[in-house]
Amino acid sequence: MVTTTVPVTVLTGYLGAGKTTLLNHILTYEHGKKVAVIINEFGEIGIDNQLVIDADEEIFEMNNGCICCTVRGDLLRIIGNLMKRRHKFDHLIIETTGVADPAPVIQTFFVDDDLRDKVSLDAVVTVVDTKHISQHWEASEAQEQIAFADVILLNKTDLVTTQELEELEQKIRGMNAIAKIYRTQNSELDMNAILGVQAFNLENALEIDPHFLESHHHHNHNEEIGSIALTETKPIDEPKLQEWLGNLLQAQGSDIFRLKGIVNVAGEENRFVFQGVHMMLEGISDRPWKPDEIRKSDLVFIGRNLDAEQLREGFQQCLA
Amino acid sequence: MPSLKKVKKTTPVGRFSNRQVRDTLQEYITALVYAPTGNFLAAASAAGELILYRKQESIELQAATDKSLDCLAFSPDGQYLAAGGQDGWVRVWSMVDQQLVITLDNSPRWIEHLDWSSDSRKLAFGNGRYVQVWDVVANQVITTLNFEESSVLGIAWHPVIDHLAIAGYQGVKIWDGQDWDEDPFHLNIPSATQAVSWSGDGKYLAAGNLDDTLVVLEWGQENPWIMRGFPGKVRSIAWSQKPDKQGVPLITCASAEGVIVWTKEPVPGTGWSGNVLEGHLEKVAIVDFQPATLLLASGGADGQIYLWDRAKKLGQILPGGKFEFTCLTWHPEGDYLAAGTDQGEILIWSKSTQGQGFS
Repeated sequence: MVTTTVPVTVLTGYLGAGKTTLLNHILTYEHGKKVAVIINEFGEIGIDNQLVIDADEEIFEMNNGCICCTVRGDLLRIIGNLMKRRHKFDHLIIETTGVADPAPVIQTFFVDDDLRDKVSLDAVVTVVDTKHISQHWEASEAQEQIAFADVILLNKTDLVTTQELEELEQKIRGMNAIAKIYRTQNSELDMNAILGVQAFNLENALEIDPHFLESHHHHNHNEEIGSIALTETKPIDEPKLQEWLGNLLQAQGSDIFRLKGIVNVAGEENRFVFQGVHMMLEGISDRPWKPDEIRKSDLVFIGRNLDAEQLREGFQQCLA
Repeated sequence: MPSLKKVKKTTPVGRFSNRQVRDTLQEYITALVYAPTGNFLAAASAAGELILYRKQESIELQAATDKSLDCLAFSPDGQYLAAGGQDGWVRVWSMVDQQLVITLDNSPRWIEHLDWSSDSRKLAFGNGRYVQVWDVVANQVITTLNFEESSVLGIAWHPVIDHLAIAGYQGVKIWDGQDWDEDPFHLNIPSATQAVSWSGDGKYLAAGNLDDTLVVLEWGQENPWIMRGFPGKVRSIAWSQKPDKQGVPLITCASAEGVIVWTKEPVPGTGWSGNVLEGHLEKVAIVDFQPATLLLASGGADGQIYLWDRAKKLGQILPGGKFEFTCLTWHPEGDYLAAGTDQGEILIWSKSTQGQGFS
């Protein structure tokens, strides 16, 4: 389906990790396009010829029935205004501060009816300073920025040894099984890796790093933030699945950062695909399974203190 | 469709049959408002244009600047027109000679909300988390109010007394203009209020909220009514000037593709009953009552204006075109209805084939 929605890229990462450098690469690459940039702190590099809006982060807690979430009030207000001139913008970039929790940014695009229609979240891109990230591991924001990411840049690789880089990548892969990880210097990479990713498009395939499935799958109990992947070839009962996920997010939604799944529903020709952010869940009946495709269900949870056994057992209860 | 008899009862002079494209501005019409005196119609666009229409005449108060104008308000006596937008300036024109009389620079903040006091002397405008109250006669600031919890999302001056309601995260705060230093009354709503409106008699205050609720407070009472069950955030609210049989005005709001009308229940101490008017196929942007009647107009993304007789039944559909309606305004006599689209069109409907949108 051709949509006229404006793509949104969210850039996260600590101050000094290389976000502003990456932003400038994007703007250079997209010269000729109209890009609106919303920032929460002025970076060290000036940005010419584009609309740059410096906004104060305003977190709104929303409690709508049994769903609780936080959204960014400043983004609702600013993007609502910008979209009145939507043919004036081809791309919207939101650069968050180093200490920002990415969840409210993402949930803003899920919750608001106007934004849902007019803009589409393309990807959360997190820039990691490979040299200095170790100083920030204690901060929950640093971990959450990795956990929420669709694309992770391990930046400044020239400042660390290969050994350090390997270990860091392993650690990050353990936290987030679905993000694409790139090693960069000076935030340089092929722009196709971060633009037009459509990571929040439900119709896109869920890609779990096979390396994660082989090596990390059982090792995550000790990590505070981690990913759990579940695979099942037997068909799933959809009402049972909905009930299980509903109860799970109700009870543990604050610890589940992202959730993605492709499900082989019993008696259905189409794939059922879904994604979630904290307590919010959306799912659709997707394209039919292809004749040569193995019908199976894949679920990935990214969160804090996840219990792999509990999740596996819960999912097993959903078998048709 | 209602019977002919009912139609006659509600709009005795005839339907809104005459459609005129009055103008096409460069971009999205962000604000459109008739002067209370009925002699002017003002339109603002996302390109920064501000045009004043009077009979056949179009007066350009501001040419396109490439910075959106976002709010417009005539003073209740019709003497002044105030405008604000993304260039951060508040500008006030005298309607006597269309000359600019006040300019206030608040850049780089955007001016998204402004409103006039009932005595037409004070102009309140949002500036980030603050609201500044300006004395337009003395041309000086009266006070600066700190909303605190968030940027200001709505401003409504009480129609009778000197009270100013400011909306944002955590509800509405109402300051008493007799003593601006006094702490405001806080109508606490566990969400963000983005639409705030006093009833014409000033007895009720309504707040439309992001958590799909509408809160109504009878001024002077402790506990508000909370209306739930809306299909989406409550984006636009309006009170009828004409009260129902009990003397209480009706309130309407737009939420998702629904138009909802609330009527106070007759028994004292009870609440309000809601009625959903179904018809729009897409999101409704704006609702408003015809002055002095219960004829209700609604418009939005489906590009049609619906007219609801007595705020109950669909009476007429005014086809617009292929564009979304973003705003509408009734002439104070109720003879004309003007609406703006996301593509910059300004349409005016009238009851007869005479007139150009003005009495």
